Amino acid sequence: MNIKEFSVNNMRTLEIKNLHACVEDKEILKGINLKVNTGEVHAIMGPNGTGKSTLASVIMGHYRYQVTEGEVKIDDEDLLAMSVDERSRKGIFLAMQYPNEISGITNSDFIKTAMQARLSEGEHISLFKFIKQMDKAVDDLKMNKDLPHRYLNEGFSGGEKKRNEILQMKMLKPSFAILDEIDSGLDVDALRIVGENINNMRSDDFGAIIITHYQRLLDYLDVDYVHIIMNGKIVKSGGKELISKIDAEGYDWIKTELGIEDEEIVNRKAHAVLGSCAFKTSKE
Amino acid sequence: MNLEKIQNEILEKEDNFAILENGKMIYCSFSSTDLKIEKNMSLKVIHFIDKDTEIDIEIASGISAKIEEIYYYVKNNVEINTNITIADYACLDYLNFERNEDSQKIITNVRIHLGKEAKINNKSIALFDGEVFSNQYVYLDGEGAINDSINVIINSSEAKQDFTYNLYHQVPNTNSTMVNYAICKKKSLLNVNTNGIIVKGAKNTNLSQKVKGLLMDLEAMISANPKLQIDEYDCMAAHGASIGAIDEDELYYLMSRGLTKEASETLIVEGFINPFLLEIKSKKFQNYIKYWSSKHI
Repeated sequence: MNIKEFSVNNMRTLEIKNLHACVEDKEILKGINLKVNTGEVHAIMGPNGTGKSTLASVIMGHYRYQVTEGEVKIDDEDLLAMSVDERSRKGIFLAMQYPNEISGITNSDFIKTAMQARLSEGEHISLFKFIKQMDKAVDDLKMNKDLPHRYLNEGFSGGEKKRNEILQMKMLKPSFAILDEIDSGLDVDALRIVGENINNMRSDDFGAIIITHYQRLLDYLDVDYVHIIMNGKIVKSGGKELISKIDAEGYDWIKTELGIEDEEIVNRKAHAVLGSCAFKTSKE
Repeated sequence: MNLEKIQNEILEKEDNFAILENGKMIYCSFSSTDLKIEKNMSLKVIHFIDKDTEIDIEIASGISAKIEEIYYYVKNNVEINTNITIADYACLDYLNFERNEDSQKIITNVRIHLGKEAKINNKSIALFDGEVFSNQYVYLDGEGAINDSINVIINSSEAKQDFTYNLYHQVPNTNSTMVNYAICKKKSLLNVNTNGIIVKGAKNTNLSQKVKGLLMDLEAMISANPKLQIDEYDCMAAHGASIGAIDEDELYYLMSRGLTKEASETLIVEGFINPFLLEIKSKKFQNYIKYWSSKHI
């Protein structure tokens, strides 16, 4: 077997089919279809409140969201049947928009425990290798040297938290990383550093879904595919050219092109059809 | 008593230590027959207890000492009374690690007297296996006395445990802070009572108490009862208590990195204990506390 064949055989796939999900009976995702292979970087863009972060949370298995229809598979295995930790150990990583602060647990202890969780029983992480790897990752991200010894995200600035998510990603080496608005809260230099670090992870063993509002992070990232989510569905997919068009013209042209109405308007009409006697609009 | 085992588990080569059987000294690494500390030093006090016990510790005036007291082997239904006297201008860095071998009822009473400008950095961790009645009394007898306490209690015994902490501000210009972390598992019941007393004339006094309770099971119960009894206008006093389950978002965050639910819960609880462990220099002793804590989490 040559190297190319080996690489193809080891390609992993994350496939989402007709995914519907709701939170407290409100349907947010209304039929998402997406296939991501390792070696690919996909960007997901879209206006506020259209389901981008919900998609990330549903893939990771957040307890607030219920999947009502559809499937998510990783290499033909049912991801939705797995618990959150199993999904992580299967190779899914979510860099969160608002990472939690956990007092009393140092960053390095947490990451070491998470790495240990990926090993078989009886296997142990070499402390020397861990420290070396951690130091390098901290250097690559130009983070403060004391960061591994500080409590997990406690007292971190918004930018530090985001870099810390990338640090965890570098250490845990997932097959698929979902980066949920990792660019928010980052200054220009931090944005470049984070972008470069994600880019450096590109390999046949790593695929990424980048959720963002802006072109600025994608300036530093080599993106293969761009998808636009509106009203809980991917309504348009394309290449990098979509990014600059959205940055210049916004999303209205897509709405016009595809005849999409804002969800708020659709809902208002639905209320009118129901004819609730108690319903009032601002015009009335 | 197996000295080699104790040395392997908790003692570093350079440690001063004393071993006491039911309060009576049976071994001491330096020349002393009691716990009267008259020079600056660090000391580990290791207890073997199987009947009612009296322990007396005295810190002489102007001395700075560090004492780590360890209930290494406690068995049977016993009452343990500890009296600590810290003389004027003395300072004690004190840690009390409490556990027992069986699930029999334990009564502990710790009485601490602080002289003029005396200070205690007072930490305890309690990991008992059965019913407990524990009382701690801190008497700030001398002007300028300071007490800083952090107490960690883990009750996974399925029994009722009562812990009462009393702070007595007897004279002016005294300060005390107390933070209690109460962690309750299974069908256990944990009562944490904190009483802050400021007597008339104890002017310019500061007193602050906090209880943070963590319920790890639906059937676990914590009752936090912070009380203040103030008989002086010129003072500052505050108390508070919060009790809750483990934050679901914290659990989700840890699990999203591959930790099982159980491992995530353990890590969150270790977060309560870790800041406490950081102040222990000896790695062996740190690991000893971690080992017993993890058995109770």
